[in-house]
Amino acid sequence: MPYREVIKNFELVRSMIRDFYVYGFKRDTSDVRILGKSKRSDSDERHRIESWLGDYLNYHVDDAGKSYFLSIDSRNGEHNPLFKAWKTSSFTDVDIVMHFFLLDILANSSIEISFKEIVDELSEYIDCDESTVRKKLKEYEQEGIVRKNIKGKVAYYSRSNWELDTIADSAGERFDDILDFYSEVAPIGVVGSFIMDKIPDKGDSSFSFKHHYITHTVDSDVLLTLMECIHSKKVVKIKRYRHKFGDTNEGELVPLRLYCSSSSGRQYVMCMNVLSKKIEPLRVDYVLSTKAGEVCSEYDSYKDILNSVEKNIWGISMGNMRTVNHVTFTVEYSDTEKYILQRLYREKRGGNVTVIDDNHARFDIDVFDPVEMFPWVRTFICRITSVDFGDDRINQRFIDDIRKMEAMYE
Amino acid sequence: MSNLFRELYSSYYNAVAAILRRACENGSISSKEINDLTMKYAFRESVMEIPVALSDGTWNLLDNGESKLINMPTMPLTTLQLRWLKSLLSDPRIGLFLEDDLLLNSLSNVEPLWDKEDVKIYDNFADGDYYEDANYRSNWRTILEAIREGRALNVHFISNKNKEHHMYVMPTRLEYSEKNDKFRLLGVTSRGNVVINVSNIVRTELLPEGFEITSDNTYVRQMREVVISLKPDDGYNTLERIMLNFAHYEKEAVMENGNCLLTIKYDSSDETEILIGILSFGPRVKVEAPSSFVALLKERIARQIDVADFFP
Repeated sequence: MPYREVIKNFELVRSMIRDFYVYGFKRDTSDVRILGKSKRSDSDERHRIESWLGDYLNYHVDDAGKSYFLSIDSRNGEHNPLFKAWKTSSFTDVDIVMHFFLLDILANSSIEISFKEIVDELSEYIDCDESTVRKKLKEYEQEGIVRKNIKGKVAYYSRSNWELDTIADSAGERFDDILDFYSEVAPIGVVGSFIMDKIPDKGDSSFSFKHHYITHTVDSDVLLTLMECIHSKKVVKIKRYRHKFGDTNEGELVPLRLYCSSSSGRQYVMCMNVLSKKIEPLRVDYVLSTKAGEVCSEYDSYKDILNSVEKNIWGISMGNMRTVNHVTFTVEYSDTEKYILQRLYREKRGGNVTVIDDNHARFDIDVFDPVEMFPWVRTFICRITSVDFGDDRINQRFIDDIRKMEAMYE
Repeated sequence: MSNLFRELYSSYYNAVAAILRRACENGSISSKEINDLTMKYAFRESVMEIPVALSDGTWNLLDNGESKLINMPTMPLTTLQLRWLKSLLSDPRIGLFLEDDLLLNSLSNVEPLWDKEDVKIYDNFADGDYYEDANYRSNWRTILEAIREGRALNVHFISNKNKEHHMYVMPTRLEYSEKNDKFRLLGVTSRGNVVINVSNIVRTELLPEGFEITSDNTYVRQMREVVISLKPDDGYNTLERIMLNFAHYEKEAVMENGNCLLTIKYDSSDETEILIGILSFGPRVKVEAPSSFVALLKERIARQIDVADFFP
């Protein structure tokens, strides 16, 4: 089959874009395994990504061969370039021609015409059979852009009255700004980008973003199903990659809440595992496929459990959900370093900050997994006067790590 | 079946819609315009497909550059798009954009994709901006208006030393940080670039016009680089973690003798943030260059061993 820059299946490029963007590189000679996928030829996929994201793709040659990398500085104020990948779906010649003529026939919501009339009108421009038209109308009805009305035994169709102009007018003068902003910061922001695409001659964004992560864009479809299941209190059937075991598994979970990290961009969905009766974080980028299941009758009680333990979760780790460790550390700061105290207050999450004297403050918290706090506590290196993670072995590990850092730079 | 990966949302459809729209507006469209619009709305190699399919009749939508449609091509919003918009209405920041309930009323029968309590940012800072404040909203909207209209502002703000100042600023962007949950005004003055937290602004006055942004006052970022090394398979998934942690920076990775050498480019004003970000990885990563950055790390580690009661 000849090469085309549009594709039928997004999964083909999902892992590759992630390799390019997250890892910053992709070997020309060997495949990087991710999401449990096996080795495969990737020249067409790379060619496509060059076509979609060419302005951001570069390569260098080193001793291991030619490496490609995708480099994006998120503070430049442009829209998330990875949205483009979601706009590459393939279609048939009949699909695209029928799309424009169908919406031209149903030009406004007051026009209601029968299926036969639609077929007759379309046949003036396009050679297609009734079943193709019926299938397209059904698809557009499911998308919400066409309405079906049965009168007697005859199906009549009209256009939805959810016109972009009407919605934009009700939002006021900042509708474009809403789309510019929320397409970058809201979950499944690519949907906002889809709306922007329908605004002719839309101006540049007035926003730029710091601490902005876009990697999760390629997981938008997975997240959409998970969010729909959360909102409708449904079980979700998933297939996921397990990093720890290097394999994949399938199962059913009850998704409860989306957890997003503003400092790594990772997205997790806290789920109740009905079999183990434990809450577990489901890493969204490790999910290979999703399917909404039945409504969960126990949903509200599972949500209550999550709400009751949330104060003991530092990040996303639940430990065994039984043991809680008391973590405490003290920092010192000079009279000109009062911003350290501000940092503690600002970054404490569920912890408590106690000012000991003019130059010392203590932090306390009870958490399921104290090791999960290591990265944050290490950011105070040079001023930690005492530390206790509630477990001697964990304390020793923290101290040993600092010694290793010292040795590394000797 | 995917809900997002649909041809309805594809760049090809968008490009063809733009071409048909231009043809409707002007009576016809030239080959050059078709190529230009294809380049603007689709991808690098789309010019080899879209103009050809339109001109040879494969896509029977144009006749000698004239649209065969009777009306301007438009498409109603899909249910997915409406649900996404409805979800935004539960976000506290939406009040910055909206001044009444008209959008809420318009979408009253639409089910959101999520509610506020379905999403949690678990590690952002606790002292984010207060979006309910009427004065904050007013200043924020004035800045946005100034950017959109290319007009300058007289900005009165409280400095770090708790004194009120004012300056004439040509705003370029409103910068938002999810981690800080703060907006900042980026702009230029007659003397150079300026960054002001919106929460520190007392009042803003919109001036009748803007002033020229020249090379003397353009917002120029001072960029620096740091090179770090790590073992790709250290058993701690460090490579992936660090790539994610610094994913929003421009960076380049090279494999050398089994090590991954990662170069991160950053704005000089972010140096402390980069430094503590690297410290957070402990002994899993090592800074190789520049020596000034290595010296900063060594100094912090030495001070730590000196100050702690847990080092014998």
